[in-house]
Amino acid sequence: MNYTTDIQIFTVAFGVYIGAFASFLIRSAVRRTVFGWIGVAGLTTGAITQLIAFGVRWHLAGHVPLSSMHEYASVMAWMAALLLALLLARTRRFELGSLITPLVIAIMAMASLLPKEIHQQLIPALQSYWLHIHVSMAALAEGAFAVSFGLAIYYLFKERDPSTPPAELARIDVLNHSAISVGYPLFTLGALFAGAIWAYEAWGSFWSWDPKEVGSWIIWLFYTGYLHARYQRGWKGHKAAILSIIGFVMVILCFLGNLFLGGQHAYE
Amino acid sequence: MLPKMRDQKERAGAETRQRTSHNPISDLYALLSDPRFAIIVIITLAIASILGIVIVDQIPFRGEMARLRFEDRQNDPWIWLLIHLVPMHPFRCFLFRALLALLSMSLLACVIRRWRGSWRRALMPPQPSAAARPGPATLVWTSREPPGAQEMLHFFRRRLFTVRHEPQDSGFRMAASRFGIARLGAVLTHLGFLLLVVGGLWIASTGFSRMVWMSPGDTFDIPGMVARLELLDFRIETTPEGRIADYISSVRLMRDTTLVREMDIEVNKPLRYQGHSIYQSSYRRDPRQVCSLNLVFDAPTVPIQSAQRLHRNGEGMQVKQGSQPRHMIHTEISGPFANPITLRLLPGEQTALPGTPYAIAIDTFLIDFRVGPGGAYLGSDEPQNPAARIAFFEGDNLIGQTWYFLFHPDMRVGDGLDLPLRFANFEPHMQTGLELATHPGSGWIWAGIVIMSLGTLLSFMLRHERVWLEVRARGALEAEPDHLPQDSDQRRGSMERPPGLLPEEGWEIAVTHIGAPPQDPALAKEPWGASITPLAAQMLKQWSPLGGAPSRWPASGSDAGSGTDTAAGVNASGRAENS
Repeated sequence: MNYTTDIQIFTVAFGVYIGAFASFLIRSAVRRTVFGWIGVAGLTTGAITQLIAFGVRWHLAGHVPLSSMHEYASVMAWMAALLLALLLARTRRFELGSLITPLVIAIMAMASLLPKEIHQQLIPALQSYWLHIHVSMAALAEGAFAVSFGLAIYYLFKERDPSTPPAELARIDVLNHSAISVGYPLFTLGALFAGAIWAYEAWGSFWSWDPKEVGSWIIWLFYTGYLHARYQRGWKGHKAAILSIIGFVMVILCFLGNLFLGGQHAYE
Repeated sequence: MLPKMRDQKERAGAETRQRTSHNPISDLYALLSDPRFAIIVIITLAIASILGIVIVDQIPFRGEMARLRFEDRQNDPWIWLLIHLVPMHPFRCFLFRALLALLSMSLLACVIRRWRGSWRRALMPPQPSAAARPGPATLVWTSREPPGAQEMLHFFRRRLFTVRHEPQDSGFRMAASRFGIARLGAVLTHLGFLLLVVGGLWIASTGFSRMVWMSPGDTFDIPGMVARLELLDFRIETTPEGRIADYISSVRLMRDTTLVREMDIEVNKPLRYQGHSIYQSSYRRDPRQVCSLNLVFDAPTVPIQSAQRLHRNGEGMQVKQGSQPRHMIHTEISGPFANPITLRLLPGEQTALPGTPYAIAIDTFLIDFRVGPGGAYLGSDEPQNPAARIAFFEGDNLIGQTWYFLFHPDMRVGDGLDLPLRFANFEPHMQTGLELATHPGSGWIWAGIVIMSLGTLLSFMLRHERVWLEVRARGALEAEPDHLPQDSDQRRGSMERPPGLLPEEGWEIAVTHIGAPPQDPALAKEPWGASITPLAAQMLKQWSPLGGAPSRWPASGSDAGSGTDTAAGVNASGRAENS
């Protein structure tokens, strides 16, 4: 096993996701459910393969591989793929697969374009068990937000189709909200609280308004606003879908913000 | 919300407004507890944060950088406004803190407003009598095999429901509830966030943070307490590849002459004592000290007895004082050295110059040498122009001193001896950067984190589910029209025979389950299965309906839901209640 083994497995997972996407496309063309299930199996296999790649990388690095943008994006894609597979298996709306799987592939592509070197020695600030908690939960939350983004786009597509019954739209809206209901607590507890506690341990301040912290704060405020708008003002359906899309765009901007805003979170 | 209910609410709201319009405190409370106001504050905070991070943090509006950037646009009114109005520290300015304070007041008002209702609903189980007032979420069916009361109690308790049972002449009523504590989630979340904001503002207002640079042997009196910090050692551990593995400060905390604590401070491992925290924050090269300094000397092959002093009338050298060029006298050494010898100079020690009667020693070191009207000074903490002033001795007599420059090895300035010496390199003296901080509001922060985490988990992991059940001998329901909602003549008429029921004798079962989402349509085997909850589906499976399908309680569409805590007071899915 050398330093590229994990990347090779990661690439296999990437290929499996592409295969799953192809299967969903075939299912949409020929209207055969079996291709939907093949797609779900592909997503699951891809997620398992990625998990293996994660384990290999952990072994090679000697520490949890959550310290670079590549690793973070990889976990985000993994969460999105897993959540999507669960969603499809549960709801059997396989057309969602052809819409959201490209999102998983896009995140994988982004991860594969980022520097993938393994640094066996973590910088001192990252040598903490909070790395496991904070980064993993934040990445998983953002994976859930990615699924919500895909569902929101799906909602807007279906909304334009006059033959879509209102009950179906309402159901997609509920699924979208469910994805956010998975991501929001993870984000609150993982990205914000675990991050604040870690910052208190490492930097001497719970919150230092670092660009990444401000980005997370804005994302959290945004999804908090979404939840309040939904519960208090009845913003569902179209409005909720638009908010979900904006929310995930903010997630991506925050993720890439390191590259041009710098700050204490810009490790690589 | 249905029109009738909305009208009632609007009327009630108008009355409340009339009653309280003359009371500014009530008006303020109404404003602060209005979720719309909270949403507006949240949006404003988000916009302010975006502006803060994108504009203020990225574009310099103050200091030298701003002056250079906007030098030719000083008369532009926009630039003037930006320079004079945009805060230097956007997240520490008054306006941002005022927004946070406003949000915390809004949170407090919301918590107060929601607290009572949430507690009542969370802790008090529903009343079985409410089952007699079904709503649009009610499923009705007739079963030949009646579920016994004990059987139903067991059914609910096995699923962690708390049950209230009310026997009736011709059957029984039950009300069951589980995870009522989920209702407290929203209140706890808001309360926790309030504590976080208050704690954050407290720390920002009264907290203290200061970076202290120390070298081994240095001491520092901790402000606000009679204690002294001594740095025993500072070391940087590196990997074989040269990556930094850790940096560690060995310190001793003394109170007068008493040792309080002795420990290694590392990143992620601070020293905490009586409300003070000392963090391993950074390290740097000491800008004024070196561990050692290497000079290359072109040693004479034949020993010399004396050397000339340097003269001050050399060629001109441009050095910078700030942005202003200055002129300084220097001389140059030219050509390669024939017999180069590297001399390692240690601070405080004289080193003999081979082949000469002289010795040299480090007099001054500056990691960023600059010169101004008052002479040489340290320009910055970065190694931009490392320079060392070397003192020349003959015996114990100081002969002269000359500056040598690392990046300009042929250049020298001073009145030392005219000997071929070049500044080769230096081993920096590392200083540890310890951050001393106090967090007076950290207790609030911890409480806020715990309470808000609990609230978030309760809100998103649990649902408050309630079930009302009524089982009666067939026909009993029609015989008791008093159970119908009083304002519903239409419903009264439509209840004579709910659709889907067969005319056989049997037991009528009415179930209202709220707080849980309906089954996914894709999973439902029956066409009606999509709109019922999984729990109701289990009950239907256990006590199968005659005719194969249950019916919804006829909803007229105009009077469903009274906003009260009854079966009638919920919508079909019951989801909104948990919010």
